Amino acid sequence: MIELLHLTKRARTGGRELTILHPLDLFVPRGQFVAVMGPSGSGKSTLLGLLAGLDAPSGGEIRMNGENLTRMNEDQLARFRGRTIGFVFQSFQLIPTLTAQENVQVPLDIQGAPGAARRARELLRAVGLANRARHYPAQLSGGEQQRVAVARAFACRPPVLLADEPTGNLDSATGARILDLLTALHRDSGVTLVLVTHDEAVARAAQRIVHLKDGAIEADSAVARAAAPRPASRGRPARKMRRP
Amino acid sequence: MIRFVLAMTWREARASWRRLILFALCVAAGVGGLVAVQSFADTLEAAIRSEARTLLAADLALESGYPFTAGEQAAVTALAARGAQVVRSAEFLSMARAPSGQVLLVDARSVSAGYPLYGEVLLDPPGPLFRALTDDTVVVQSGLLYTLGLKPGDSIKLGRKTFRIAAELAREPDSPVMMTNVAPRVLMTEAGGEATGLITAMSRVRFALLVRLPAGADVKAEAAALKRAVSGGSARVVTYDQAQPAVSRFLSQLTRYLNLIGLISLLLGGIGIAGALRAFIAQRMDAIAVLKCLGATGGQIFAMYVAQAALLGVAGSLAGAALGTATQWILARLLADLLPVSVGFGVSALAVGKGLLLGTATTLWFALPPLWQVRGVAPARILRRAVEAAPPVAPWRRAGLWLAAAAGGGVLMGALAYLEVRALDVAVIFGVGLTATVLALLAAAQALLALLTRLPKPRSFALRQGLSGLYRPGNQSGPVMVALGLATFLLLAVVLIQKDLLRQVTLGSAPDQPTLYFIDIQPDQRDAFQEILKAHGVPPADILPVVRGRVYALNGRPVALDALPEGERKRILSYEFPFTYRATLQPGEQVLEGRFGIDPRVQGPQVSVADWWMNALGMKLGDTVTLDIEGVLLRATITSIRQVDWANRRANFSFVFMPGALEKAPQIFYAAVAVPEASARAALERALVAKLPNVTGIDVSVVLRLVQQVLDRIAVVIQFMAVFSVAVGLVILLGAIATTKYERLREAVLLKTLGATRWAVARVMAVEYGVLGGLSAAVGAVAAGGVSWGLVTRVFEGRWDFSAPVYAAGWALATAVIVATGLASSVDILMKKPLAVLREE
Repeated sequence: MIELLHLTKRARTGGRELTILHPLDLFVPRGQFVAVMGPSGSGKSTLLGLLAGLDAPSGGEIRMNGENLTRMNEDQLARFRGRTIGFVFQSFQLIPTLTAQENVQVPLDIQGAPGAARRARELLRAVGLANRARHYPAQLSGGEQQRVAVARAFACRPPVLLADEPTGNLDSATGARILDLLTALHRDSGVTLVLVTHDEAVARAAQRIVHLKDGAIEADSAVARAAAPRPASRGRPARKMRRP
Repeated sequence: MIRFVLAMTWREARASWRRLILFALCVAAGVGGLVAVQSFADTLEAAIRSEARTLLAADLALESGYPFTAGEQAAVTALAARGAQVVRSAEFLSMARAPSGQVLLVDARSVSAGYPLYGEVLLDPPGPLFRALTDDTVVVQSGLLYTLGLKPGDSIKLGRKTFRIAAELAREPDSPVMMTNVAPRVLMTEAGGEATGLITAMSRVRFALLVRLPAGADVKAEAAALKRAVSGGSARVVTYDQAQPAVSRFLSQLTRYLNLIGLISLLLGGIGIAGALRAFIAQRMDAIAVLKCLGATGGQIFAMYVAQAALLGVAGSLAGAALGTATQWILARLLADLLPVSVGFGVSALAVGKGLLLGTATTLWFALPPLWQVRGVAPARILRRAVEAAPPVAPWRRAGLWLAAAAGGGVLMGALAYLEVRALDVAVIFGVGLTATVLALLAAAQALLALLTRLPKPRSFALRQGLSGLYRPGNQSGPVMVALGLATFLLLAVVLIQKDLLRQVTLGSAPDQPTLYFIDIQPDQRDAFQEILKAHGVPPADILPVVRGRVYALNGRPVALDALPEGERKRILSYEFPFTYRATLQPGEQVLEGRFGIDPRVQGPQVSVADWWMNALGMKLGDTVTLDIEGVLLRATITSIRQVDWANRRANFSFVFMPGALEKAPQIFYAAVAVPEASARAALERALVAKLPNVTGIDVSVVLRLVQQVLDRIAVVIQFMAVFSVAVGLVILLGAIATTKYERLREAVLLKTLGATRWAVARVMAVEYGVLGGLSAAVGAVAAGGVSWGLVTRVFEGRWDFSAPVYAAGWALATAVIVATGLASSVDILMKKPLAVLREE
């Protein structure tokens, strides 16, 4: 679970102080899929960065899985991220000098986890890229790169997954497949998923949508579902990824 | 953690190996020079050691500037009684006279039967030495035959004796290095030597008793025993491992100082590494941020890049060790004339080890500052819309960092220099001087680059576009200019200094400067000598007495040479000094302290000493110095201190005794005369040799030729070392081009898409490399001019002049090489088809 208490962020740009996030409170229970929406400059990415401990808040507290991020130093944050958080970025952010499998393996290697190579191959198989393991990012299509990124995000079985516009750089069909993949993985692994997007259609895949505007929560609503969560329609269904 | 670091190091290195090879080449070129010098020095030392007995042609020898005393002879005879073989040798400079009347300075030597005790004498036509040599024949080096136009079978006169030339002397095991070029050897029997009448107590002869001990004898112990037996006299015991000490010392000094030039290349390599890694890391920022997002700590990422740098250092150093080992023969070839032995190829473990250690240490040292910043990379940069930019580094802080880095580099270089030359002052001067030079070059580079942006934009497209290339992101204009500037500086400074020094020694045309020295004038020949001068229209010369001796004690305390550490003090105290005596100062001398002349208040001998000697040994007016003159001790009080103008080419002396002290000491007489024309000199020499055959004339031009040869060699060797710096500079340039290849490619493609021809794109590139090269070379040329000016006017106290052609040629050559290298490495950019590049995006 994620708990934000009076979280604020101010930044100094061009000599004047700008409030990016007004005091903000948010509670995300374990296993929930939340979409954060809002126009450009509404503070979505800042919020995500703060959640990940990539940036320090100007005030307030962030608690995640019972730990207080605001009290941690750089290295403690890095280790915490390695243990707790998986990432998917809009521009994939694969390391260009590593093969697909090595990219997936990086977080496992950082943790010093045994059997990292085997687990990485398993994950690539789960996202349908078993035969692309030895390819470099430049040799993969955008969709394939993002699938590698998703596999990497799940490598350490993190309890929290943060996704920043994961479909933003992809065409709509490919984007939909990535969204299906994330949804399926969320369902199967029970991960808490926070997804930032400005795409209404993407947001509707979530269980809850938080609307941000000018650094404050404008609306916070559950997504009405006619039936069960949308099935993984197109593309190969993701294989089961159990949490430990 | 370690596994992660190693795995990532390997994967990163695998991906950017082309770039890493360039970095490694930086290290390799930096290390290569050092390894070449060290390998050469080690191979030379090994060669000298393995041929040591041949170099002395004996196990040990007793040497003296005077005929051996009965006691000295008895000590050696005692060795012979125990089975040792003994050979007598006497060497002296003399004038050889051809039947045509032409004369030549020769290095004569008489040897007794049994010579050589080790090694062999090679003759042409071949044959045993003592079959060719009778009491009426000599063997001579080819230089004599060539200069006097003689051939074996012809006759030649030395002193009173006419010899037949039996053969050409092709090799003599213990011949003095370099002398061949000044005075060729004439080898004769002892009786032959006696018959010349030139071997007397009143002439300058080096006597030696060469000893071959019976097999199994302890050379060190026997030498020590002999030393005790002859102590107190003027004779010196030399063992085979000390053979050719002057040459060995010269070569070891030379290689040590060559190592300093090697260190400059290493420093440039380090600067190249630092610059290249900074650009490399800048391109890696996103990947580093991703790794941080994925949970890697700053320490882990830092460790990963440090491991890469270490790998780079080791690989580069290995390549450098191979390069140095492979090129050492060039040094051996360049210095061949100065070497007592022939030096082949050898792999020196010490040299390779040293190269590895220095290369890796320097790489890490210079890699740390740029790598340190990876720890501070904010992971948030990965979120493209993150607002906050990193706070700019305050200018004073940036300047502080630069100074700290420079000071660090200076300290490292100073420490390495100290390890090479073991002289603190040299190390400090080197470290500080080098750091100051690099900072000055860097400042000049930055200032010139800044100035270019202020200038109005040129109208020409190629100029405008080319200049903008100097400031493209990831550019390394600063480090490239420092490295290329320093390389130009090294090469040009050597040429300039050599030119100025050579002019100095050849500028003997001032009418009153001596051009001929005559030695061994006997006291009863003074009048005859002046007569001959007069007959040739030369004004009467001062005939100076010269007494030779060593310093035995300072202020009554004996100098224990063996116990002194290596250094200037020991060197000065081990000299054999020439002394003279006279009552008046000569032109060019100036008394700094005391009074020149006999001080009636002082008891005993009085001496006037040159200031340099007083300063070097920390002596003061009123102190006493005890001199050992052929075993006789003479304690003199220093009653004046003189400054001497050594450049005036008069007969200058560090020690001038007041009359009354040295008149009875064994002495030779010596005169210097000024005869500017070479033909007049030859005529005078011929006349003197005909009438006074024992008098030896030494033509200054012959000595100058020797000086010139040595200077030439040293200059070439220094330039060889500087080539490594040039290589580093060019590798840095290549690295800088490779680092910005992507930007260059995009730029070139864009220009082509917009209608520029390949020729136009090439012009843009030529402008960029031309400006970079031209500025670097200009900065280097100015620095070279400054340093050569300082050295020539301040240290050598000579006249410096500005010769525009040398600077222009140096500048143009350096610029051309830089432009050519840059264009050559950009050919592929020119040739790429635009569409292929645009598609890749």
